[in-house]
Amino acid sequence: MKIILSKIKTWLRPPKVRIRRKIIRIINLTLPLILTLTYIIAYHYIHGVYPNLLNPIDTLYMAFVIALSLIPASVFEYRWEWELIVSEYEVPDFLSALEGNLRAGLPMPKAIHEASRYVKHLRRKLETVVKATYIGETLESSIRYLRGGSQLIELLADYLVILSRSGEEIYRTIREFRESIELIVNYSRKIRDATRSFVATLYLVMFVYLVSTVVFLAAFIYPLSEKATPGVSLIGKVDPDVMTSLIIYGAVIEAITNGVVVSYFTGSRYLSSLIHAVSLLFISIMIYAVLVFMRGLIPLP
Amino acid sequence: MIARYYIGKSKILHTVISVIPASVGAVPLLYIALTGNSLILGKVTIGLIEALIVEIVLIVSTTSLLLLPKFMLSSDIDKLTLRLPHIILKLRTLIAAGEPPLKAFEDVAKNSGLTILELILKEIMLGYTPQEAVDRVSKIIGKNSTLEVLGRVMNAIEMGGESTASFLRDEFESLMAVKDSELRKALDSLSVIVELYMSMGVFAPIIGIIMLSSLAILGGIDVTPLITAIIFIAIPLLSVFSAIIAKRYIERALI
Repeated sequence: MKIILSKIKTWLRPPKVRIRRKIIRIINLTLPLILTLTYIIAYHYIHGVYPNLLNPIDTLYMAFVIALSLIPASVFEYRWEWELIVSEYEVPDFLSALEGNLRAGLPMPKAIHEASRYVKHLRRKLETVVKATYIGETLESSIRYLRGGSQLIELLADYLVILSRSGEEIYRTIREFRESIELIVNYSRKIRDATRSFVATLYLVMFVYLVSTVVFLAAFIYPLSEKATPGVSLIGKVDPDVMTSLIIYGAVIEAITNGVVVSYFTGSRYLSSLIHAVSLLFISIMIYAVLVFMRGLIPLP
Repeated sequence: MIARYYIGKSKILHTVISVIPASVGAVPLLYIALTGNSLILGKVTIGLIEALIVEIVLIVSTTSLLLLPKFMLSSDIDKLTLRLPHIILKLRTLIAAGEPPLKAFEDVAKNSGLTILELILKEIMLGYTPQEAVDRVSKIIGKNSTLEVLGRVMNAIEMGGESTASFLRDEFESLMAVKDSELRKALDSLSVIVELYMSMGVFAPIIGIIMLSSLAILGGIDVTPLITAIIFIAIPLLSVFSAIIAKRYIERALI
């Protein structure tokens, strides 16, 4: 019975599929285009016409589709950046443990194995390195499993290669190396904390855009268009629907560019701030939804 | 300028290709200006305004192509500046492990993927001393504080000896101290950066939209294309432009 159950469990278990980060990134970043096209085709299939891209309701749906399609990219990018940062913060602890193990006389692979217990996010990669050495690979070649991600991790990998080449006596240089790495890690932390205030600016910037445009539409454009008498238009050639749609597109562009720009400005290696862009996009959609569907809720004359 | 930055690695070819867009755009403009008639291409009629807009866009493309080598050089210098502490640290570790300084530099330069380091290495391979190699590269790309630091490092490599590793440690520590002071300066100017970003990224487009709408209401002209241009072209461009300027403030502090 147990055997049958374990076999069923094995069959039910989804196969482990490893997809390269680069491919996931390409899929994630093309998702907005794919979903927007799918939305347009589905709309045409259901209604028999294409969505009017200058109609505020259709524009809001379009913005919603774009916001939804950006969720996977923002979640993945944020997670990757976070993993990388935490891994970098762990490097000094790992080096400290490695130094102790080498001083205690452990051989390099064993020393790395023991030191990997003191770290959480780097552990998986380090264990792969050690496993590779246990099945007969040289330490120098197995270090490749550690590589990738950031300059600091690359530097650590290079240092481990030097250690493996030069014998255990070189462990005397670990302390100096660790101190330098600590200096870099602390400095990166300082930069990250300092530029974090720019994320606050991002929210402020969007808030200003949303409030100004909502007030402009609700207090100026809509009342004037409603007061127009036949033949005499009070707002000239300004179409309130077109204006609203364009301003919604503006909010979408503003939110996405702000997300990308803040990632770039804060020196992030990934588009980690895209997560802020997506949240801003949803806030914008909610505010414009109130403007389009429930204008009475806006406390303006 | 470094040949690899040019299209086809030739400055003349690069210039010729860059000038093509502006020249193509100038043809309809000249035709309209000389004959006084609109240009008719099949069902499309191009007037003076349309031709002017097309020419402006094409001039921007030409200018971008002409400036591309400078942008690429600037980007390579930025990459070197960002990675200099890591490079010095790796050099120091290799030298401390007993590798000859010049061999250590060769190892670092080959694995770094940085154009400027590869250029210096190429000069060394041609027979110049490390210091001469840095001087020659400085002459090509112009004076730069990062190259000055690199020059000092190369000087130490050229001298060799047991004190090279300790010199590199001092150099690394002083570089980090400089970065720290740069960060403090950048933080002091953060309010300016924020104001710049807000004015260019948000206030300018909003004021543009409101002014154009008022103009349309008072004058009865159709401003939808202009507002569309503000939203789809000006907002991304102004945001990116202000972000680039803002990054210049803190660039020297980044690592």
